[in-house]
Amino acid sequence: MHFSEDDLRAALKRQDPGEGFAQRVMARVNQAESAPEKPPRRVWFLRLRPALVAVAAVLLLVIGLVVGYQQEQVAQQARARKAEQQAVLALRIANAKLNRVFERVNQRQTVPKVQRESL
Amino acid sequence: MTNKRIHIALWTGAIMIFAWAMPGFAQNARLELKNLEKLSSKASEVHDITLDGAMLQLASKFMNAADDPDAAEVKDILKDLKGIYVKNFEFDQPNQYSQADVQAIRAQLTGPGWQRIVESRSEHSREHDEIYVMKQGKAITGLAILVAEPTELTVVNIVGPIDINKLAALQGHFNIPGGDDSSDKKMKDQSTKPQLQKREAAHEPRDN
Repeated sequence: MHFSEDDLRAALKRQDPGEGFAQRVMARVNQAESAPEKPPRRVWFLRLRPALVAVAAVLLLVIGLVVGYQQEQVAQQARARKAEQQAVLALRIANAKLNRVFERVNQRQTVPKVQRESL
Repeated sequence: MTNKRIHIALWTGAIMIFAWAMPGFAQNARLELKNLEKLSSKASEVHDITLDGAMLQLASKFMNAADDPDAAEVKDILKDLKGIYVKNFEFDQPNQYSQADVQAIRAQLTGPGWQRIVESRSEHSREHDEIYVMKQGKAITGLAILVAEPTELTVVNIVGPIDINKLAALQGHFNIPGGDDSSDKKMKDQSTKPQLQKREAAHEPRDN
């Protein structure tokens, strides 16, 4: 788009602000100075921020402790279950071998006796 | 006065050292079974169980003994035990373990406190079974079962007060059958199970 020099001159031509321009400006300035300063806007919850942070921290701590305790309980139950299975297996093997040895000894003791009796 | 204080201090020190060292002199029924670990690679089936006192307490803590009399029986056996250690190796082929492996265990059982109550040896089946107990007074404070067969080696070491009759009577309880092979099945026949008291009375004195 091309502007000619006449266009620019017309656009930048001085214009009269009208009667009482200076008074209106001064009146606005005076009004701004005399108006009481508004307090800075603060949202209500921002005032409670430290308390909220503390409550949130305690809540997180409690939740963490509860979750940790539950996880520890689950892990302990798993360890206990495994230990129980191993204990039962150990007793089973011990029982089987113990009885096996006893049985062998018993057989040794009874067989010659039967043979003696048959003689 | 100074000499008296020195004497008191020396005696106090001596008593403290003695008290500190006493547990070391107590006979320990736990066997060292690490030399058997190398057999795991040769075995077709391995049962390696290590349960110390804390683990046994944990196991019995979660057993539901209130509703299950069998569990109560197992719990009763476990309650005072300080450890159960089992090494059971089953091999596909015979001669996978050496006599030196067994001898290393047997050597420990010649130590003070151990007493062999049962021995069964068969040249025919090449089986050598032994049961040892550790006694303090009349109470059994440890048990070792050593069963050496051509294709199976088992060492059971129970540490703590154990009632062998209760252990032997566990079969059928708490999913504890006598075992799954034919010879173990025979154990279920109560008529063939001799009484421990008789065995203990009749056992030969230890030869080692």
